[in-house]
Amino acid sequence: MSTFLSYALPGIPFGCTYAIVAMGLVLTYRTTGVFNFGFGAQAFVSAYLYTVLTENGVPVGLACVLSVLVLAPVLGGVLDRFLFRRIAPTNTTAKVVSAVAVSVALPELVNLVFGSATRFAPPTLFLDPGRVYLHVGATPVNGLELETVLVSAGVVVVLSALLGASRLGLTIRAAVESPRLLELEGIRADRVLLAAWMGSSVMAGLAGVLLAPQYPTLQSNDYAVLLVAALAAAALGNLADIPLALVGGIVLGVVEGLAAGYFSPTSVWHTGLLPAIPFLLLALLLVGRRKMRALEENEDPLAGCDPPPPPSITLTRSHELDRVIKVGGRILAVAAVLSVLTWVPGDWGFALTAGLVYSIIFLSITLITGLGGEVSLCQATFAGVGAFAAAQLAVHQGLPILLGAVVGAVVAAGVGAIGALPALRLRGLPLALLTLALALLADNAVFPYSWAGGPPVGLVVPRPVIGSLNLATTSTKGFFVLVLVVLVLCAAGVKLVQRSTVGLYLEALRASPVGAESLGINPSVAKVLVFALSAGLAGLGGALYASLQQTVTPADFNYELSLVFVVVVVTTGVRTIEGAIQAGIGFTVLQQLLSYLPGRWGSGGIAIVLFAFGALTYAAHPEGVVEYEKRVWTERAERLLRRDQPPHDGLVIATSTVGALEHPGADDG
Amino acid sequence: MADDRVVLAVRSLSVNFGGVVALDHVDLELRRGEIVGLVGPNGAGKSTLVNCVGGQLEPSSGSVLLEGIELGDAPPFQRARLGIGRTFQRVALFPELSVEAHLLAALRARHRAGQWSQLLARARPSTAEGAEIVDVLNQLGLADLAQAPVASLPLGPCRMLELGRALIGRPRVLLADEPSSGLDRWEASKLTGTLQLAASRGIGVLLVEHDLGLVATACDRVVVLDVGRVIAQGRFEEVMADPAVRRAYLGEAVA
Repeated sequence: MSTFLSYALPGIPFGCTYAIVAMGLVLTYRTTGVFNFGFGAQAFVSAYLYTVLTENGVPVGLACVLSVLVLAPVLGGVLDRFLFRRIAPTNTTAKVVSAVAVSVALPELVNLVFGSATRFAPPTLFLDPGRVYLHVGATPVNGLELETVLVSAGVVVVLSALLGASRLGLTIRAAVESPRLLELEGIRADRVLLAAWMGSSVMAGLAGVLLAPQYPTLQSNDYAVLLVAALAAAALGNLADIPLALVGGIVLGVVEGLAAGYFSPTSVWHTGLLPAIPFLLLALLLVGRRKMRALEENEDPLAGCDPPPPPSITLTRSHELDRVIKVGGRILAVAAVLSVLTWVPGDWGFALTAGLVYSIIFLSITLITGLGGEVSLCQATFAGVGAFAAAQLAVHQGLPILLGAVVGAVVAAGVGAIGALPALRLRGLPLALLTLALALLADNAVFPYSWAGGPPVGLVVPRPVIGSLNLATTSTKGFFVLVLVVLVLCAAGVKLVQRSTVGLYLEALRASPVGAESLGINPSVAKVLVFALSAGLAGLGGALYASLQQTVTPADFNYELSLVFVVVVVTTGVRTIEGAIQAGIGFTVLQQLLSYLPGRWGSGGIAIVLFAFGALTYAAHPEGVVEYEKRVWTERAERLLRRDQPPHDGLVIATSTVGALEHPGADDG
Repeated sequence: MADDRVVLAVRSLSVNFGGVVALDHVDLELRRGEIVGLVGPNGAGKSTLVNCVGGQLEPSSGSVLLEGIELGDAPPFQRARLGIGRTFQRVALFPELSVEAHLLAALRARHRAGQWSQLLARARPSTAEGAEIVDVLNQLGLADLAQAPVASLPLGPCRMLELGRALIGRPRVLLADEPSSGLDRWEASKLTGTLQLAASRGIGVLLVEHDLGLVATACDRVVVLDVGRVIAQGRFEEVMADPAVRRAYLGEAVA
């Protein structure tokens, strides 16, 4: 019993932080319908400010107030006002994408502002972490642990008092049902939502400040794990039940504590299973629980008043723009290719080659998100599977890398198909969560093994040798041409699928699963198909990436990269092939340009932040902000060119559409 | 059982939502070429019944037979391929697709099995498919709108398109769930015409409808549901004269 206690008790403080974030997640999700992936990042931001302030001699109390009671609610308020408020309640994809963009942008912003110097654990709030305050059984409880538990208990008391007894609690619970119905009662729902956002952000900030002293250094990654653990805890309560989320958080902490204690530190369980517990639990809950599957079915009684969503780019793009893009794109492409082969310096040639490789990976997002309509947060993991398979085969079996890349693509496609099986009955948010859990599972429990991701120092991956042509010795140019050919083939393949019967089925399923199934379309086959194809493409791109870098390490394809991928592609246009290519080239070119900046500004963080801001426009411009700008500019050009002539038929459609696009926020007011 | 004109048979179908009995041992038969009206006050279980037949909802007990074959727990897409077409109370179209694309998707999904083989097949109608699509478009009066994105259409054409989508490829049974709601009188009469044409081609039509005028003109037979039970069935005039039906619709006399 005393062993049990000594293992279980240290888990409770962690469980408490999970529980606080979980309750915050449930609070925002239930009131605003937004599932805030950014909470981990928000907790990190508050923890960071707290650490920096205390390092600089600000008293602990003041630092805590500034980071938890000032910064956190302001951040929550800003997110609500300027971002999530603008997303239509029914637009699940936009909500997921925006929250992902927030989670990607915040840690990068912190790095840009404060630099990436290592920050060590800040002091605790009010109890001495070195001192043992009491014993439970024979197990000592130190100040850090006691403090976390006490503060969490305080949060629970305050929250239940607010929600249960006050008028605010009643209006918040009403806002859960329908903010707009609440407004019909004469209550300003936007203030209620703002309160919910600020309140839950305070909770995230508090969890961050409580968690910070528990780790030796401040790492944004620990806060991503915090988010997933909180997710699993919230999932125990079906994302709806605040007390259950609390219990779920604490139980999860205890289970982790017990697992850490009982599994021998050298066993596979300890290294493999322990870090994966929250992700496994989350995945199991998502797949196994009927209520979790039904998450997306909550309907606003006033949804009928919403204007119809804007029609898709494929239908509304003007012929002129199509022609300009076709001709202009080709000229630009040929010019770029010729330039790389002739005068472009080596590092830019390398960057552009990397851009092409990214384009291949990004085409996988064009398939799964653009065509399949699902947000996958594990595309980098699929790329990793392809890269590691190709690298392992090349290193250990001596397989030529190109053949290895094909095998890698096939393996990744297989993994994608198998990964789709548990996801068959999920769509929207639960599916995105499941893919995130899979990505973290791979990061923590698969890729670190040397049979999978290779040794920590990395695997040396060869460049391809075609006949007597060794692409390693002919600088990057040979490899550039090879990747270009592969990209063109992949793009052609994606185009074929988009225009095929299956593409038609996927569009139908995306728009109305019930309607599509009533026609005889098998949604399961469609989902497995699109996952397998997409994972295969990502795997192929990953293998080429490894070969380009000539080395690959287990950390090269972490979950964070998956989030960045989604954010980047969504910015440039997720529905079109050219969108993926723009994303690939744009991502690397921007990073290359930024590398001329001094110090931390050149680290590429700005690129990620810029793309994240681009992705935040997804709600207003689901066709991609780049695509949107293209339309606006062609429209302007047309207006200039045709000022005197009456527009012909094709143009009338185009004009009215672009006109409508220029006032996307008109319906929010 | 002996009647081989029966295309759809519902046998002792029950559905419980938690403790609420939505359908209570309902029996129903639909013959080839027949239009049966399913009427009843709100909450009677009409849509529940249609959803059980279409496979969108799993019944608690009882069975659904299509041409004598028990459907069991076959998912909606299999039922569609076996010949059940349906429309929805809230239109379930694909806003970004054109009218023609809707019909093509329906035609292919019903008749060309296997998405793996369809992966690279061009989503353009073949000559034969094109002829069939044009035929349906003419029936629906949507010929001018073939290339229009559905997002741009008002409700009337949407309802007609949903009907056409369910009818293309010749299903054996059509389940029409309140197809006339939101339509004006002229559109409703066009709808009636389409249903009658479908029936004349041998399709069994189960029509859930609140507009009793439309039911009176279109239906060969009427089944009245109330609180999950069949309380009357037969010809429209007979059924409407039934005191049980009057009670269900108008309530008990207080005096």
